[in-house]
Amino acid sequence: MTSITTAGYQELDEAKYLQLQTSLLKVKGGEYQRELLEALKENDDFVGFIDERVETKEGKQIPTFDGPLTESSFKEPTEDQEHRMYQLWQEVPPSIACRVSFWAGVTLEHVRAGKITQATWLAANGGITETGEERIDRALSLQGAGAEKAIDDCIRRVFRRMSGLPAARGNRDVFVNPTFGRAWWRERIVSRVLGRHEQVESRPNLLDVVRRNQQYWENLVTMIVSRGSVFGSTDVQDALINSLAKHLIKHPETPFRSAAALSRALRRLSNVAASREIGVLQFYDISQIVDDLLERLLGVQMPSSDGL
Amino acid sequence: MSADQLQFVCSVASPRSMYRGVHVSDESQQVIEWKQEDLGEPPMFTPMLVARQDIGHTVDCESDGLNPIWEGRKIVLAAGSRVAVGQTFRLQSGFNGILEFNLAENLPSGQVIVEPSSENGFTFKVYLARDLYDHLKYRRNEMPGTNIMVHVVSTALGILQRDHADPGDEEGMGWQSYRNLVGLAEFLQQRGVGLWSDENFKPELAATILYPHPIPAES
Repeated sequence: MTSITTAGYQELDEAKYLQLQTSLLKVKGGEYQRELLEALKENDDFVGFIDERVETKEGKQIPTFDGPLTESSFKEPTEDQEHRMYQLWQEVPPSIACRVSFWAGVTLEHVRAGKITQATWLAANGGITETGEERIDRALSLQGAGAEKAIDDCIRRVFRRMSGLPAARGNRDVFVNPTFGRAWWRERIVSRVLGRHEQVESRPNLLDVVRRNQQYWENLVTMIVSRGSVFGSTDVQDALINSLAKHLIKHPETPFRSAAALSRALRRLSNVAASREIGVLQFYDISQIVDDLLERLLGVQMPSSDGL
Repeated sequence: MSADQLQFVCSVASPRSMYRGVHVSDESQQVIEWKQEDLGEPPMFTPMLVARQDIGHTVDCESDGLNPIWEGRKIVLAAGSRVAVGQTFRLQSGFNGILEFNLAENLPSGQVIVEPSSENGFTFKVYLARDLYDHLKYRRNEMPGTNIMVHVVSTALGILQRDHADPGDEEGMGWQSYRNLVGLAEFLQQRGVGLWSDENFKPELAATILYPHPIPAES
C-alpha cells in the first residue's frame, strides 16, 4: 500500500530514531541530554546508548570509509575524501540518501567500527578553537540558563552531524549538515554535471561552487528543495552550477562568491523561471539565460569592475 | 495563438530527494515515467502549456482576458513561457497517501500499532496483525474495516495534535515543512473537520466525520 519502498539498505528504525530526537530535544539541559553527552565520551557507551533505544533495521550495509579521519577532517572532509566517500557509496539511490535514518545509521556504524575514533567529534562545532570533547566538558561544567543552552546546542549538533534534524529548514538539513550525507549530495551533483554530454567546467571549478562554504551550499540546496521552488528540471540545476563555476573563474572579484549575493541572484533567476519553464530548453540555452543574468547583475552590483 | 506554437509540459518534482524533471509532449495526454529510486516522496505534478518557440502576439483583450489597457499591444512570449499552468497535484490525497499499512506477523490477532515516520515526506506506519491486515486488504468497506480505520485515523490525528501542533514555516520545524501534512491539512479543511493544531480539535470526532461508525441495521 505504500508507493515507495526503502527496503534494501541498513538504517536506523526511523520512528524510534525520531522519537529519540524528540524526547532528547524536549528539555534543554535536562538529565537526558546530560546522559547522552556523558555517553559520547566513550564510543562503546555512545553506541550502547543508541542501540538500546533505536533498533537498526537489517539491509545491505554500505562499507565504512576506507581512509583515516581526524576530528578536523570529519567536520570538513577534504575534496579528495568526499570524492572517495561518494565513490564508495554512489550506488545508494537518492530515495535512501535523503533519509535522516540512513545517514544516522551510517554514522553510528563509523563510531562502532572505530573509524570515528572519538564519538565526541559529533558534538564539535564548525570552528577550530574547541574540540567536541572540550565543548561537551564546557557545557557540562556550566550552571544555570547558560548551561541549558550550551548542552542543548551540543545535542542538536550531534544530531545534525549524524543525520540532520528531519524537518528542520524545510527538510534540507539532511543535505546540509551531516558529514557523510552532505559529501554524498555535493559529489553527486558535481558528478552529474561532469557526466553531461555538453562541454562543462572542470571538476575543481565545479567543486569551488558546491564547497565554497556551508552557507553557499545551503543557499543552493534551498533553491532546489524549497516548496516554492520553480526550478523545473535537473538541467536547470546543472546549468546553474556550471554557469556559477564559469562566472567565478571569469570574474575573480565577483560578489557572487558570497552566499548573500548568491541568494539575490537565485531570487532573480526564480523570477525568470516563474513565468518561463526554462527546463524545456536545451542545456546551452538554459546556460545562456543564467550566464546573461549573472553578467547583468554583476553590471548592476559592480558598475566599474571588469569594464562591464 | 495556434496549437502548433504550444507544447504540453508536465513537471514532476520530489524536492525531498532533489528530483525534478519536465516532460514535453505534442499531445494533451502523455505518459510520464520516472525512477522510483529517485524519489523521496510521492511526486508532485504540474501540468502546463508553454511556448514552443518565441511567439509574437498582438493582445486581444477580450479573448486573452486582459485589462483593456493592453489592447493591441505587441508582446513576445519567449520560448518556454508558461501560457497556462494547472494546479500542482499529487496522485494521493487525504489519508490514503499518508497511511502505510504493514503486516506485522509478530502481533497477536486483533492488535494494531500506529507510528509516525518521515518516510515519503511524512507518513504513519500502521502495523497490523495478520487477521486485521487481511481484512483491510480485502474487505475494508465492511464494518470491522471501517472501525479499524476510525481507530487508526483517530490515533494518527492524536499524534499530530500531540507532537506536531506547531505549523512553523518552511524555515522551521513545524508540520508545514512536510508537504504530505500540508496536503492533509487542506483535505481536512475541505471537509470542515478542522486542523489538529486548532485549540479545540478532537481527533476522535474528526476521525468519525471522515469514517462514520456504521451500526448494524437490526440494532
